[in-house]
Amino acid sequence: MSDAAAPREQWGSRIGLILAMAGNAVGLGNFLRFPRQAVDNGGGTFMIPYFIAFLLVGIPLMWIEWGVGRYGGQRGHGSLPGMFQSIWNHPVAKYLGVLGLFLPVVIMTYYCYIESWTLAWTWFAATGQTQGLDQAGMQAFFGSYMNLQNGSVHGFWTPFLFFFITISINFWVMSKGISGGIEKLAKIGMPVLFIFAALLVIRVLTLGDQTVLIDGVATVTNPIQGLNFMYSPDWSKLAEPKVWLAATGQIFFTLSVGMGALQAYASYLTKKDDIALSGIATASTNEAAEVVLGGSLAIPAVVAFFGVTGAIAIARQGGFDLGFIAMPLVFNQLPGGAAVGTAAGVMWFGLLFVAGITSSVAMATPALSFVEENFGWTRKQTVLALGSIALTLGCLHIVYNTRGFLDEWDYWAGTFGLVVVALIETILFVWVLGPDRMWNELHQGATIRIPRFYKFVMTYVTPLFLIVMMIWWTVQDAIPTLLMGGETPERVTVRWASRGVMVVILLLQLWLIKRAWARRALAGKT
Amino acid sequence: MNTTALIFMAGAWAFVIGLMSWAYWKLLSTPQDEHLPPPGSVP
Repeated sequence: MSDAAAPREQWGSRIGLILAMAGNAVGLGNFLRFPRQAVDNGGGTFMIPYFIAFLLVGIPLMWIEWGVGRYGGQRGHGSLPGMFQSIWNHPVAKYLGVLGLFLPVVIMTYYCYIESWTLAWTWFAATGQTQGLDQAGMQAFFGSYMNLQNGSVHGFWTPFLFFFITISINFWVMSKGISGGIEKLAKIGMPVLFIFAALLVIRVLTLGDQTVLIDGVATVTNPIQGLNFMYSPDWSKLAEPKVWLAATGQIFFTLSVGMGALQAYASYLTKKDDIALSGIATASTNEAAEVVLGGSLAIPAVVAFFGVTGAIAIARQGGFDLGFIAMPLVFNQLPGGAAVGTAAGVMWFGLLFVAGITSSVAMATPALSFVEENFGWTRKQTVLALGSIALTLGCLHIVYNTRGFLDEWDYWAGTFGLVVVALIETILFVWVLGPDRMWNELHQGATIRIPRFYKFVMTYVTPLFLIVMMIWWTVQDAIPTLLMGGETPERVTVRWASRGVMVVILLLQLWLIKRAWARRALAGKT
Repeated sequence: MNTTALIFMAGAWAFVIGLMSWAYWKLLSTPQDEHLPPPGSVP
């Protein structure tokens, strides 16, 4: 592969790059998944494996992904096929990199659909459509949207409309390029997200005592009970391997590693740009958003109005019930009347939308770069093509969402696939490139010296963690998920169809890689 | 709020806010063109 890099776009400023990277990492999971994981896995004690995983897996992977991205970018590659090929000059390497196109495209498609819910609920909150609903009413309101129940609450086309708007906004931002689109979005969106979240946290934590009816009994509750509940340690959980794996999994998802998006952003860096300190800044911004803001919002708010038992029941139903059913119910009961409830609802769903869009634009970047660099398409042509594909695939999610179509994509691409990519890139960057070259690569342009201890961690500990996690997930989840035990025949059919669509996308991308390298060979680039 | 929960919460918040503050302070106080020499190049 030629090392002669064509001129590539660059980030406008270092702070813009870090906000865009952090925007990629801060997503819906920070506000909906993290509190649920903490509650389910020992409360305060969950923070011990969580921070250990952050230090031994999260930060090293962050550096590895920034390093892989910049290394490939300097050789003219903005996506994993070319990046892997430039690290490991073997015909197989580029095909391993297909996962760096497949995962972000697949995840981006269903993620944009979920993101469109947040846009829809921002609108519903702003127009007062969720005001006055009780728990059953709120569940019917959510269920109608998910099930496309025409005429019950929402029109049949309402979810399609919001999905279309969401996809259009996403691809409009991408059409403006790295500096003019993504960086500007992050510079505006991230401060807005933090301000909205901080205002909501202050409002929730200053609610004081609330007298609410729990099982027909007037009970005094308080949001601080929610924090107490979230952080009270259950020491017995520390001995359970599943808690350690849940903590590592949460770190994995929250930092958006193993997807190909961070590498694509880092490919626009130059040799003189720092990645050592920038990687820490990105990871710590995400952690602050997750632990301080995400951990202080949903659970304390729900505990204040439903009590601890009610909050546990809601949290166990899933993050979406917490975000889209319980939180609007909380906003309806806020002191200060309808205006306060409306403002809180707009801020909550608005911040979720911003968290979502700053992540989804990152997920589209590897595929856009791949097509532009290898097939000579303009940014507008590529955006239009990928946008049309995402729109079409997203409609399948809307129609078959409740029958397991999305769950398949979320498991194989959004969960299992991430660990596979992380393991491959770690082996390539640390072992194939060599620990010494990897270490030097990370320190090119660095403004800090990474503690030497991390060279050992990245060489041995991080890959070991990833291998254990992959084996565990294969035995615990992958095999049962593959076999689909206990599913109805209709859901089995939909889930097989869902897998079929994923296989078609994967094969198509493998073919595109083959074509791209054939074109490169013709152009004398190999 | 019980003391142990408070300790866990304060510890978690202090760690992430501390790390983030240090990273941004370092980023903003270091000129963009100032870099350390590659490891091993300075005896």
